[in-house]
Amino acid sequence: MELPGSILNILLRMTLAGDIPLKRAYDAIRQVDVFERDRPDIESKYAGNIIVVCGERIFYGASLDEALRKARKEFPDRPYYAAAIGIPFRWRSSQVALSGGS
Amino acid sequence: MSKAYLGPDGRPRVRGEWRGPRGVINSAKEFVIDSGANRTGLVSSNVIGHGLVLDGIISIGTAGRPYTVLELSGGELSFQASDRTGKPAMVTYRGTIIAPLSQNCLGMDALKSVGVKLTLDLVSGSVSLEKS
Repeated sequence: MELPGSILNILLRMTLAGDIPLKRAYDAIRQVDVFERDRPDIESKYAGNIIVVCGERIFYGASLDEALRKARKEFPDRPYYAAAIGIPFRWRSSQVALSGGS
Repeated sequence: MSKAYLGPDGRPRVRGEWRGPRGVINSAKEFVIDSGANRTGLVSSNVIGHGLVLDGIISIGTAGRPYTVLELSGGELSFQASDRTGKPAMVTYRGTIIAPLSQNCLGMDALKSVGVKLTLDLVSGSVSLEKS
């Protein structure tokens, strides 16, 4: 998945406004690149999970909370990219999908 | 700050004061209260230039409906609820939000975090946010 223009636009505007250091915005986008680069491998290995790419490494779990907890142990402060692999997105293990997304 | 109310589309709403780390930026912004949403989120114009921290990028869509959001932290959302006696009580949610959404949305994460329950009476058209 390439990053939608709307997301890139907000990242650029937040960077220009001084909200996000350029290095941090680049780091976040870099995690999306890592996902795209390794996508076939990730999709076969982690089907049915939520994955978090952080520090250019893959973490997974049944929910974003679970995958992010693992990532935060290794990289407490780095930005991440998260996606659901073949399942609806789950924020928490006890919850189903986000309603809407609009 | 006003109490919760029903919007013209029948969805509950509340006006809230949204603050980023740079101070009060958006006062009296209207939020749709969505009991089916797990996350609180804002339109893009309410997140740019507020000093929020980028936590991550999340692809929450399915293959047929891709949708990507940013997860941001450092902001606060204050809104009016009532205590058990019915007296107005201001509550403040401090947690991550997602953006961009098509409208400001107060989700269950914020309501749970501040211990507020949404009660909706469609017959009388009344909405209440009560702090437990």
